Amino acid sequence: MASGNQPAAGRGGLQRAPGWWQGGPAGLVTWLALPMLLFLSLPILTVIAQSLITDMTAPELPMSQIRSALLLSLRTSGMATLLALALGTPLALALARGYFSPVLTRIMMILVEIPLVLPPVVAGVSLLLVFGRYGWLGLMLSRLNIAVAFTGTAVVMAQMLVASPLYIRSAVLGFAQVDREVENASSLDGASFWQTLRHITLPLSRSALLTGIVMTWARAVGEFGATLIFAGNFPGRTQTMPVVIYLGFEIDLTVSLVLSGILLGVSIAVLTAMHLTQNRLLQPM
Amino acid sequence: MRRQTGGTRVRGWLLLLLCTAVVSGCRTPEPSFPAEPLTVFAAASLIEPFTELGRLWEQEQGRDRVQFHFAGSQYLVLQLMQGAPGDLLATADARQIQRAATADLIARGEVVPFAWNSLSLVVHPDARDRIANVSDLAQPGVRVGWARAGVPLAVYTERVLASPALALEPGIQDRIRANILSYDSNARTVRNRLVQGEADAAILYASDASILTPEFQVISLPETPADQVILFMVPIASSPHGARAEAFMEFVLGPAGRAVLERYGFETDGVR
Repeated sequence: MASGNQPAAGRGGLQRAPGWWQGGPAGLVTWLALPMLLFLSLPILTVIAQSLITDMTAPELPMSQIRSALLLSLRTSGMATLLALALGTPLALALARGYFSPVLTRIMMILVEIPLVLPPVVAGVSLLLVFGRYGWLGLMLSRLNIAVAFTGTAVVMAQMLVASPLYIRSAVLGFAQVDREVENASSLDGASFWQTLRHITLPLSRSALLTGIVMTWARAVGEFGATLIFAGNFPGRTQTMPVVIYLGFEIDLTVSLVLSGILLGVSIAVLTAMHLTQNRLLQPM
Repeated sequence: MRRQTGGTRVRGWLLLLLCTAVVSGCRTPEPSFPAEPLTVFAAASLIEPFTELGRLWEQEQGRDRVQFHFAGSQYLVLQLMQGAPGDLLATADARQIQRAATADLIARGEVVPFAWNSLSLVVHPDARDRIANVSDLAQPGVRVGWARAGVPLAVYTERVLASPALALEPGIQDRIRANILSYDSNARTVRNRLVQGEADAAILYASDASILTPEFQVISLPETPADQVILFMVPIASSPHGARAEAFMEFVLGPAGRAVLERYGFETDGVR
């Protein structure tokens, strides 16, 4: 990659910055960066450390119930992320390519972003108003004998509503950054729309797409408020890990502590795996 | 020049902000009326009567203000255990008072029962044809509202299910539990699941059932002295407003309090 007479470049061509010990602006910035890092990591690290040294005794919460909640969380958040990917990518592409008038694109971007500012309770209530048994769509579905609210599907929908905007936003930015010249060149060379998408657009925006996927999954796995309202709390069916943690909190702080430790451990493992995959996928091919 | 003016303006605002902070920090509470409102932690089933009583109390007392924190009784006690500041606790069962007493949250010997409640099976208008009694809740496809373990309503509901007066077979009980829509965190949430039509039926407090529209079918459930629903209140030991808390308790126990509670479906006969 780098020829012999160029200065040694790090991975991705980034030159390593001077360390904080070397003083100068880098040192100052590093010191200014510390408070934020501490603020973000201290509570999490404390929960993990505490959960490792705490013995949990909760006859109200058998291990089987915790396991099924964890599996449900992983299953639903995985499904929500896949659906965000499948349904969000076309939307993001349409928005990034300006298939609509600029005003319409703006309005649509705002519509996509609104769920991000919704308090989770409002997200849950709004889902009930549409897909609840007496919601205007739910009423039609119930005539077909389809119930959505208070099922596993409802959990996935609650997670999708609050989490998929993160993927879509990221994907729009990613698609918008792809050089149109390259795409045009590809079609001039006879590539079909799908071939250009597959070999040019998606690979060139994969960094943004992967970031969006990670953020969406992370947000989905932590979803609590909308789930509780739209999907309820039933062990094995709609009781996700955050819901169990909240129940544990009402029983005893140590119970919720240990459960939080479990969820954090699993989430850190998944996020690490995602980052490693991302790094490999980001290597130049 | 313009930039300098902008800078001055910003600095002026900051100075003003700082002054406000200093002044508000130094202000001493006026002794003539209490600066802090009285904080009452009350069970979710008390939302309407206590809100109204709070208004009446403020009218009567002039300047004394009262604010409420409504939630499931189990959650109120949990928050008090974790140091939430409150002056008075009103719960929907004795178990939570017991829990608060074990945690040394309340002054002993001051627990007062102030209202009685009972349980009803309440059926959504669209499910009236299918559900006429508790054992109908076991039918396939029925969606039953329920409170989660620890919530007073759930404790009472379990007692009713097991009550000899209903004589439900264990198989029926299991099928009812399999029909539960969601284990919710307080009596009011359970009622709202029914109001929204997500649940076909639920066992509710008679007080919560009494404020529903008449289309909802309310079926009284058998009651024995052992499973009476009694609401208690007690001052919080750490409260600096003990006398005011006592005064509010007297107000709830007095004629005004009883009238309001009875209007919302509680019974107060036998209080005192």
